[in-house]
Amino acid sequence: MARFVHVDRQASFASSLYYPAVLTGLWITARHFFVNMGRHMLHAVGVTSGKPGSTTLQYPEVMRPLPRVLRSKHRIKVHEDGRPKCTACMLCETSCPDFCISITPMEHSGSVEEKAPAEFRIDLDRCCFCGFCVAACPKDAIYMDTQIMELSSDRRENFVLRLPDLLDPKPIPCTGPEFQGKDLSKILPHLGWRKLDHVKPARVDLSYRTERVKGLQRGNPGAHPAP
Amino acid sequence: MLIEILISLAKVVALLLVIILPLATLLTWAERKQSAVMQDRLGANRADILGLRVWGLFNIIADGIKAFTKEDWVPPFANRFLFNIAPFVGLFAAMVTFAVIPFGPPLTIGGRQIALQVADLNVGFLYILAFGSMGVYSVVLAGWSSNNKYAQLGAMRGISQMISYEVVLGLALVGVVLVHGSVRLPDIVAGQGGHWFGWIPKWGVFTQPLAFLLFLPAAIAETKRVPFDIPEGESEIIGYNLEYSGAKFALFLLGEFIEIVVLAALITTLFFGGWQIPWLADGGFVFGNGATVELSPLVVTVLRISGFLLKVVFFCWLQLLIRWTLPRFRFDHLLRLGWREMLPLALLNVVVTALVMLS
Repeated sequence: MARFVHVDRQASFASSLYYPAVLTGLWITARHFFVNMGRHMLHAVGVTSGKPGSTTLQYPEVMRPLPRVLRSKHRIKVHEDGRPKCTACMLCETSCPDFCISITPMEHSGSVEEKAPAEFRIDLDRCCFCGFCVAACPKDAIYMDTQIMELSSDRRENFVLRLPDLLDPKPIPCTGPEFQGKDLSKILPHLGWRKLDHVKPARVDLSYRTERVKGLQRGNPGAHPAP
Repeated sequence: MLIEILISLAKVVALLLVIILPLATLLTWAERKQSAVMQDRLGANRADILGLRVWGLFNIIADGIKAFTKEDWVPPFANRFLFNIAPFVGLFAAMVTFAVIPFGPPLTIGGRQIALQVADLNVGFLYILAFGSMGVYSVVLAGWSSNNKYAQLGAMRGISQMISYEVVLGLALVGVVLVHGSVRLPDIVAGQGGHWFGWIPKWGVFTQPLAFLLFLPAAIAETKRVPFDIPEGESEIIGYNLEYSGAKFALFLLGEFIEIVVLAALITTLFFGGWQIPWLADGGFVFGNGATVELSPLVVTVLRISGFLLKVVFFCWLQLLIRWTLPRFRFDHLLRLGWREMLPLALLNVVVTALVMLS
């Protein structure tokens, strides 16, 4: 049973004058204007100890500190001699809900581990950044802690990461307080940070994607049950 | 004769190049920067020349280049002639209004008295109202010639708003005319010279406070800017300039910014003493307590012109502040405010002023 509620929206006399409310609003915005202008002026003459005149960060020169648990672009850890820690056990590939990881294993007789990846592809176009591969890895080889999340490119090929693209020496620790408010574009290159666009475009045959998804949908091991 | 034409030309050029166009172009930048500072942001600061950014001032150039290199698109279904002249009508109406505004006291050079005003019309006041209403044609022509239902609806909103508020605008100014007994703007400015009790200047805002409170919103409604931006409604409802792009759209915007400058100059002239500076007489400062500071006529003239410019800049700032503070009116509220609240008050102001002037 619907009930009709009468709401009286008749403006009171005071509010129908408009000017008191308008002046209050103008006072608030003008105060913001003058306080911020004062701070900008102080900065212009070199007084930088005060508060900033704006609350915005000048991205991309200055980045917000990222949360430590942020799942970003993948990397594969390496041993001291530069070998990837990955043993091509296929657990990440199996656990991946988007079928974006594709590993080609190879025999590796030079060490305790007898297998190693000959090729390790991560298709970022498919990746949903769930982090299942990191959780599945028994060797602690794959991580998603590079803090690289500006993954943009004008070529699809650039989104397919291959083994050399993944073997980053160290994570990008831009979460710590020492990085807050710093110009990261100056710091990151020293830490081995590369923009995705700077990766030399690899001639990658993209047809494997469809083949692989089709194969998995046909009921190969690791695929989701067909509906 | 020739020298008078030359003087007039010099005044036009000086006015255009010193006041209107620089202020209007700077306002495109100031609007973005001021709104940013009001909202705790930095605003436009990316356009640079050789790495030099100068607080985003080059954004003006970037905007200009962008506007003038875009395709000048005329929709095939539009009335081509009217579509092309509409932005110019708006620009023309806005710029021409400035001709009768006195931006300084009469100047005497070599025995020749030069009025610092492009055209000293004895109907200056009516001229302003006449060309102020010509701004409506820009909206009408743009909306009608676009042959697009949204543009036409926007133009219809614009017409009803601008015509409604023109009534209030004119009636509010009648009070000012009654006080000064003249429709010549130099007379009105000269009449705002003295002081009451030695410290309150006889500015229009003190002789006609209600007229000022009515004039300001009505005039902002005439410029079609934010609390009254229903004709355009750029944030969602889009209006009369919907089909325009590139340079012609930029002309609409430029016309809008020139209207801001003209409105600031009008407010200054009619309500804030024009070029009058408190306590500054022809021979120098004369303070209420009898103290005087002697100044040469040239210094006084320069002070007065810069006083006028300063007031204009302040009112431009105030208009931007209003534009970035208040939300838009709903259309029925807008018309109710104009016809049922402001119009009776304006009439009351005229009647009371007339009675006071009679007694």
